[in-house]
Amino acid sequence: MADRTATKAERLAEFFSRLTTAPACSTFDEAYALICRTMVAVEDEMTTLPNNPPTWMTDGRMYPPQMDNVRPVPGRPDVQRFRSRGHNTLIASNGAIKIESTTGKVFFSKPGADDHAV
Amino acid sequence: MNQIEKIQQELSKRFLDVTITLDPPAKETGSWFLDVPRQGRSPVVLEWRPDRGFGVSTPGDDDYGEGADEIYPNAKAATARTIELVETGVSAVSPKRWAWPSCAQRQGLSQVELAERMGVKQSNLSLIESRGDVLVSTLDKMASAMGGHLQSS
Repeated sequence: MADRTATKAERLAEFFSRLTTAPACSTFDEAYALICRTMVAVEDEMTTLPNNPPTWMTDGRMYPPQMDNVRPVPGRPDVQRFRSRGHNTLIASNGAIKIESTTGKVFFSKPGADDHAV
Repeated sequence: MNQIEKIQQELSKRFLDVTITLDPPAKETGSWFLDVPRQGRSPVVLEWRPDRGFGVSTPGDDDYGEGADEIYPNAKAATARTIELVETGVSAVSPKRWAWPSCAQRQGLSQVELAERMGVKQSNLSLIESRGDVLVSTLDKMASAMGGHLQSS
C-alpha cells in the first residue's frame, strides 16, 4: 500500500492514463476486468485508504463499478451502462469504454480492439 | 409503488418546475437512483439500496468511483434531507472532508471526554472513528459536543 495519499485528481488522472495506454479490449468482459484491476491497482499504489468494498458512504477511495448496478442502454443492445452517483460507465461488447457524467460530459473514451468507440 | 418511487412522486409534487428522473437497476440487487436537478448547481442524487437504505449526494465531476456523501436509514429522513439540499442549494456533507478527530484533539478533548459530552460510550465512538461510516446526525452531535455546529457549503 502507498505511504501517502495522492489527491483524487491525481489518482483519477493516473487511472485514465493507464486505461489509455492499456491494449484495446475485444469484449465486454475484458474491458470490465481492465477497469476493475486498473482502479484497484491505482488506489493501492497511490492512497493509504484501505480497500473496503462493502463501504457505501464515500471514504475517498475509488471503487470499480459493480455488476449489480448495470443497466441496458435503449437502442444499443451491444452496450451496458453502470450507474454511480454522478457518472455512467458504458462498456460495449467490442470492448470499448466511455465514462461520462450523468449530464453527458465525457471524461474518458477508449475504442475497442476493432477501433470503434462506444 | 416502492419507496423511492413514492419519494419521486412526493418531490415532483413539491418541486413542480423540475423534472425528477428515476434510474432503476436491471438487477433486483442493484441501486435505484433518483436525480433531482438544482438550478445552477450540481443535482441532488438519492440512491436507494432496498437492503441498506438511502444515500444522498451532490456529485461533482471528480468523484468518479465514490460512494454516497450521506447515508440515511429510512425514506423519511432521506427525503427531508433531499428537500433541504434542494431548497438551500448547499452541498451534502462528505465525511472525508470533515476531520473531526483532529478537531477534538485541537480542543484538548480525549475520546473519552468527547464521548461523555455526546452521551455515548467511548467504545461506540471508537468504533465510529474506525469505520468512517457516520450518520449526519452523529456528526451534528459531535460538533455540538465541541461547542460548534455542523454547516455545509
